[in-house]
Amino acid sequence: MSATTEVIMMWAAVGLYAASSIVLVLGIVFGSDRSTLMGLYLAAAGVLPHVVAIAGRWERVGHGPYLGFYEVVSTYVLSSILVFIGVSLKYRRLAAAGAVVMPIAFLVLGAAMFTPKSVLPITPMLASFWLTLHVTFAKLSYGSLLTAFGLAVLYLLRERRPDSAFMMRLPDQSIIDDFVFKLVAIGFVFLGIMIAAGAVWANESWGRYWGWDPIETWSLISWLCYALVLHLRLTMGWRGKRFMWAAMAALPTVVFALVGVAIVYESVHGAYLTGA
Amino acid sequence: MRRVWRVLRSRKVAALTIGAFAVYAMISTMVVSEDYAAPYGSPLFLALAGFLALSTAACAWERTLSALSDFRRVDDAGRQLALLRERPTFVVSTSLEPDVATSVTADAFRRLGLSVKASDGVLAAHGGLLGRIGSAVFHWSLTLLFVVICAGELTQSVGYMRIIEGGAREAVPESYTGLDAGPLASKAPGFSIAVPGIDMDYQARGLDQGPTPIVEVRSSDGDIMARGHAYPNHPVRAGTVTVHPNDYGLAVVVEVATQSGVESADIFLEYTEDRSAVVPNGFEIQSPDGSAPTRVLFELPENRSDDQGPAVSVRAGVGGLSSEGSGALHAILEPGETMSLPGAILTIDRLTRYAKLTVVNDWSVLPIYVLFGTALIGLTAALWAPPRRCWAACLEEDPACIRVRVSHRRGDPVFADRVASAISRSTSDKEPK
Repeated sequence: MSATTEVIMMWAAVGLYAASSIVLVLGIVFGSDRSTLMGLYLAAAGVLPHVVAIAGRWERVGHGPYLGFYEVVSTYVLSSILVFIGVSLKYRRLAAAGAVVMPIAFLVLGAAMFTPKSVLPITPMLASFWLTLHVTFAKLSYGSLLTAFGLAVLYLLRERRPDSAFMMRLPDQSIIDDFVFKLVAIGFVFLGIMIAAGAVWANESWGRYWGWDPIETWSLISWLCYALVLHLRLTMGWRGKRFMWAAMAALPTVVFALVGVAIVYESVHGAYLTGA
Repeated sequence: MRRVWRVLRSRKVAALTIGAFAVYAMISTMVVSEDYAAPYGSPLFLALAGFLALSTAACAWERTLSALSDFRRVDDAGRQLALLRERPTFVVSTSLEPDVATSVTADAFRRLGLSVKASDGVLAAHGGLLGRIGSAVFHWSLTLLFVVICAGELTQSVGYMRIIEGGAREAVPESYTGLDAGPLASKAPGFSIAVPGIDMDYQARGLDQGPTPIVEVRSSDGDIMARGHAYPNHPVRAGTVTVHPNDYGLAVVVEVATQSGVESADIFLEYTEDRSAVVPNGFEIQSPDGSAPTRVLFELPENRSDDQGPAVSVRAGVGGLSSEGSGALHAILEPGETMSLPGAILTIDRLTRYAKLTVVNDWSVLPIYVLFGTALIGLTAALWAPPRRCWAACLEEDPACIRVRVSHRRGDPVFADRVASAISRSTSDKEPK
């Protein structure tokens, strides 16, 4: 696949995600089930050109999507949308959470489209199974935790407007609460695997499994923040609103660890992400 | 003592400590701009980490006791009958005979992955064996992880070794540059590293690995414990020793004859960052009469890379060399050629390459991997296979009903529904159409 076709496919995905975001928000505002369902279909339709673009680039550049902002961020967005669609298929009415997830995904992918798309070569340092594992679980954790965030927002919105006809059609709050917990729990385990795989890779490459590099430190911080969230839930009985706020408050640490640190700090990891 | 124990096992204190640990790390990344690891050696951080380790150990102990009491718990059929009579979670109506209804309910429990026991007319089913021990395993693994990391830091050694092609070095502090050894690290761990050769165009995994040293790890008896090409993501390992490639460069092997004898020395010339030139390097020859020493500096002749000629430029000056690089003496020498210096004769033995290796002697890496893996397995079990219990009975006074009680450790809101629908499905399959 040529670079031009790839960009066209990616823009098609951005367009469909934008349309999905608008329709999902309208679904919440007007309490329309049909809009919500339409928004879900549009998101699923956007996945197709998105996957084709990523696969085409993978085939063209000869390595997975883990070098440079454009590749990394676009796959984070894809994994988030796939988790959101998976949750919505399990509980169709939870598709309303897309009104939070899809605008974030669309904006982040849209921003990634304006970053350099140059091909960064794979170096001997990057040719490692552990890197593949590390990156895969980073994306899976991001997808789970972002969807948990979207559901938490939905939970809190319903707390404020419990009598709205649309909100009443959502699954019971206890089910949303349990779903958020499960997504946070699985995201926490995935983050742990990501950190472990990264540590093994660092040891194979540089001879040390931990060096307090800013991205390593922020990965640990995000893991600790989610450990705290789970601790509050499992041992101190935080449920409902308090748990939702805690789950929402922890997400920025993951976003910063995965994307922000590379921009703010000069580090080995940052070089892989920004190509600097 | 009891007070200390109460603080350590306090859930609030544990939550606060995790939060404090995270906040400390956040602040550290914000205020430190160069040596990122520096804040994690401070007494405050070590105290915080120590407290977190103790708190995790206390938590692990509590969870072990809780898991053991779970295992020892014997269902009191009489009590369960009373609870089923007074507070069932739900009741399933059936036209089946009580003993058939009980047997069908037991099958439904089994299909849900629960182990079933029957006693005095009460069915007791439980599941989530792994979940019961998962949390304890997770916390014990984390506790041991703290201990192993700490012990590893005290006993490990990490440093660079520069070894010329065909040469070997014993693992003693003098052989390293930038040695970072723990206070309990062995000064003579009894191995040596050799570099029999350097492949300048080594290909592996479909990639050009660049100049790649062949590395041998040898025991104190000279036996080869491990041998192989060392390239990125492919270190050479022998027991607790791991050898990683770091860099390579040019080396000059010289002999210096003075009044006190002949000494051999390896001069390592590192490449500049763009690898277009080398950084001059050298040594000093002490004067026997106590006057100023002679500084000798080696570099490549002007406009020559290492591939363009087997010669080296030598400059020497008594008392040092000027910053412009003009020494009192200057010669371009080839192997075998000599140069007279004040109080010494310098002979170029050979020009060769050297490999710069990162040599790590750390037993703790593998246990750390294992413990972190065990922690994640325990965590997954605790979160995804939580203990579940069900009790069911058909009471004599109400034989057309199956009374059921369910308990889910994590409070899954749909567990009761799943159990109810499994029993309803099983009973309706058996009921006459």
